[in-house]
Amino acid sequence: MFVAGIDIGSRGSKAVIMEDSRMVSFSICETGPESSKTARFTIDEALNGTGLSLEDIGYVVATGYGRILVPFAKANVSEISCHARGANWYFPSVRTILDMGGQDCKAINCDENGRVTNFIMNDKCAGGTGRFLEVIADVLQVPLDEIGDLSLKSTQDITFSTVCAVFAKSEALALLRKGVSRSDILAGLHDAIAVRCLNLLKRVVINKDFTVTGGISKNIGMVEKIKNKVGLEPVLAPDPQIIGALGAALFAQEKAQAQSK
Amino acid sequence: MPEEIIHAAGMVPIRLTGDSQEPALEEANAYMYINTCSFVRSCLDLVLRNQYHFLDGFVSAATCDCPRRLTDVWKHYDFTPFVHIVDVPRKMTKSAHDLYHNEVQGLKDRLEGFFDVEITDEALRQTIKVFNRTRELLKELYDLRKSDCPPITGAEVLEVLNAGFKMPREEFNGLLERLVGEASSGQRAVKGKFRLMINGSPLNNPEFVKTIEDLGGLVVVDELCTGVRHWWDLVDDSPEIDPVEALSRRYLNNFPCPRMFPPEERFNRALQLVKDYRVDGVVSEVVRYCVHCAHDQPLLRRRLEIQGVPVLELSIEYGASGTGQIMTRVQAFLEMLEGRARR
Amino acid sequence: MTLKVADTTKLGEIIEVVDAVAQMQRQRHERQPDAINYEIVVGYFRRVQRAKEEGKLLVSHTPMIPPEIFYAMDIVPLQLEFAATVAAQIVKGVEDCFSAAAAFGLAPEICSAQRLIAGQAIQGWLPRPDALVWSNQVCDNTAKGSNLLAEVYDCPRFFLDRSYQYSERGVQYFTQQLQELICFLEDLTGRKMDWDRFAEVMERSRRLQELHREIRELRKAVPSPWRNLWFIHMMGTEMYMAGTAEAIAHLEAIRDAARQKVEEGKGYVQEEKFRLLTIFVPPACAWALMGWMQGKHGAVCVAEPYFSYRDGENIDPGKPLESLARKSFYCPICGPMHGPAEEGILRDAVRDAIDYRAEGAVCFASIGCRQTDACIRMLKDSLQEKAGIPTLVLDNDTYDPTYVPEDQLKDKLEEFFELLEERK
Ligand code: SF4
Ligand code: SF4
Repeated sequence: MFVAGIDIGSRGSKAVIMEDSRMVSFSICETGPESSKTARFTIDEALNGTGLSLEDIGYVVATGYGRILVPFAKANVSEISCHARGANWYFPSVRTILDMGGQDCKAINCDENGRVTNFIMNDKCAGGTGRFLEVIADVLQVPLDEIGDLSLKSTQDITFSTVCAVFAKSEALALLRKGVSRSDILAGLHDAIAVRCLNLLKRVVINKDFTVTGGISKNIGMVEKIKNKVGLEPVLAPDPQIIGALGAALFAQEKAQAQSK
Repeated sequence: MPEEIIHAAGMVPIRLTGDSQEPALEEANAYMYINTCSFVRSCLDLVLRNQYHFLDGFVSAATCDCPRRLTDVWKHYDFTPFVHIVDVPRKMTKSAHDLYHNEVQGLKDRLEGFFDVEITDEALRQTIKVFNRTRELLKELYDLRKSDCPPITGAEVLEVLNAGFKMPREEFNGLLERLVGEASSGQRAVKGKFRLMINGSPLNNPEFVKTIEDLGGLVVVDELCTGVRHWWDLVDDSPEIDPVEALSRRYLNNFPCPRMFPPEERFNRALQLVKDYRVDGVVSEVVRYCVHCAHDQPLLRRRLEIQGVPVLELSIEYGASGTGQIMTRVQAFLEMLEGRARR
Repeated sequence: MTLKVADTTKLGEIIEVVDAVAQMQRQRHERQPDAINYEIVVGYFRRVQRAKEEGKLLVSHTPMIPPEIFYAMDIVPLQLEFAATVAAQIVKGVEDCFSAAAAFGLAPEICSAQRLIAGQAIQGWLPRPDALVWSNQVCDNTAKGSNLLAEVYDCPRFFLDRSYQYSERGVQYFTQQLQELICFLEDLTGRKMDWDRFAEVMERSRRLQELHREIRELRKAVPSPWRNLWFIHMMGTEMYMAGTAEAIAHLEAIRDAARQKVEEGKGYVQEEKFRLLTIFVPPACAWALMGWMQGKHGAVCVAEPYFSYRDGENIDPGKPLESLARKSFYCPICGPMHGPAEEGILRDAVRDAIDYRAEGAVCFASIGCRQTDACIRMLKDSLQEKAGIPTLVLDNDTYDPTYVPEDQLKDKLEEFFELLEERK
């Protein structure tokens, strides 16, 4: 049976279609103002080229912050559980997950079946999230997907507040005015975020098999900093953004099986 | 702060609470710095927006930095003609009792003098009976929550408690009696996937609890200053004991709030509740800048986890109803409990 | 969680650096009070370092536990906030301490002083004490912070509870608490309190109080004979050295230096431009700011209402415990911070503004310090209405230099100086 998982995030929406624990296709789209439309659009993108239509999908599970607004989903599961399950599909030995999303950041422990055993989420302040990096990219006028690379070119250490995004922004501006290079500023900010992540991770168990998921994990500058702070090399999925949707699809499969029994 | 003294003076004690939403607190921020806990700022905000215009006086207790500074502000800007602050020691020793007894007596004298009333022992004894009745009824109500399928949800209980803070006590007792009667009839049974305890900073918004319960977690007990910590212990009403003495003993020895020393007293009581109510998981909400709870939290969390009880920590603004991120965390927490149950 | 290893090399590092500073100051004639201050700090940490080998009891404690009791009992005290402050300025790795505290689960809203102390404990920066003593003076953070420390150090603990209001009952209660503290310490040392020695210590404490007041009088002079940084030094001496001969020597040196200026009719800086009231403390990471204000802008701090002795009460060495109990209600820090505002800090600030002819007030609002910050609006209004002076509020974090960087503090101060200039 075909199943699907759909992850309506604050910035991107993703869908994954699976059959017998095998990934058939996936899509990544931008989240529009209306979750239900976005959901439909995202799943259609994933269906596109598979020869399947929505009717062929036996069970859909939604996740992400728009998870309750997906009309064709039969159930919804939190993104925390989905990330654990999805990471487990890629890397069965992983027990520690750092999920760096657009709105928040989470540290998760899971067992061999990808079930969550403990998790911690940062507070609602934006520091250390994708949203924060967007703001900074904007302030520094660097395209978002280039900030990671640029941060690696830094030549001097700059220490930033590890607490507040608002202050970090004005600090960044002040430094820019003083003529500090963009790469140094970015490196300092990435460092500050990595410290926050480390503090989150320390509150769960840090296992040597650990992975970073979510949109920010595509930023190599960020991953590098995290590697240094944590002192461990994370394993990275080829498409870390879709892990939530993938986990949702796995939940869909489990639920469909339970239903048919 | 023994409300009985106010009641016995023939006045109505109203417990100050904040708004049942996460307000912008603009008015309050103009008077108290943003690191005053949002509970106190929310109360102040309502005062400044004239929502407490009916008050004749304000009695507070020096329990914590925020209320004591609120009292300073209250006095300085003259919100009500009568302002009084009661000192409360943090220990429960004999000399602490002497001090506190003196404070309670001081409040009584001051009320009598200012409002030109007399608070007789007779009236105090009568009041103690009324207030103890509330406590007994609440205990009965809470006992019903020990069953597998309680007749009442956690959100409903919070609504009941809220009503009690603002209502003439005799009337509240009447309603409570009816409620307990109906609830014991066995006609209603609420189900939930897991039995939760909620604890931490003051909580008044039932919506917050409802969010948790809508997701399948049934709140069966709390460890809150707006819940059990408020009503748990009875006042000794035997005729031999002086009523002021009885009140001061009860209020100092009551279910300890996080400010008291030693902290283990509170931890042990909380652990006992977890046992008695067969709690599967604890949701700890800590209001921003509620320092007492924030300091206790890591210590309490460790103790609960040793007992095998997982803890979900939510750092919130007072009045929050449980939106986006909170919902996600609660849902994930419940999914985690489900995973544990399967193993 | 308990502490595994203590890394005492940090202590050695602190001693070395402060010692070098002390020697540097000794070379300069006008810096003798500073030299004494730093020598006191060196001696203090040396005693901590040697406590174990000398077989003395080491007791860590939080602010406003009267050090007189420890000195009278030949116990080595370690005042944690003070140690944290000094260590934060000298030893690298403060971020690691904050990180350790966060990883333990301490919320960022807990004041950075407490997070730093907890972090340093977890990281093993300071030696493990034989006992911990703490108090609800002066705030909720100090009242609660040490529960965690007691767990980390796994040592005996004593919580000293002081009432909020200054009343006879309150004094009785606190006297009793101090008595209990002494019993607790007697049990640990196996020695009884030597009450004669205690009386001597208290006599020195009384003398110190006298000096405080003498200095206060001298500071009324225009131009001011005062070096801005001295108040921080004096506060330290008062908090962890009260009752010792060194403390007296320190204050005498300050007094003599100030008196000489007054007699010569000179100010500490050549051109005094602004007279300021200081509310609370500048960030520990930016004490240099005090010198900068004075040197570059001729801005002198003339009085600090949170940090001065209230008049009218004196220590009676014959009644040591009651005197200490009373002192806690009128002494610097404790009185104004842990008591009602109206008859406390608000009244004192207005009085100081007038008596010391202040032209403006600078208020350091540390983001973790709820109880002082909550008074800001009242202070501002009172100073404006009753003393006619404006107040500058500087947001900062006492221990985290990245929260608001020093440059930003300087910018704001400069703006304020311009405003004061215009008002003239
Ligand atoms: S205990 Fe917490 S919520 Fe209550 S007044 Fe104090 S800081 Fe505010
Ligand atoms: S900085 Fe303020 S909150 Fe922190 S310990 Fe000192 S007085 Fe208390």
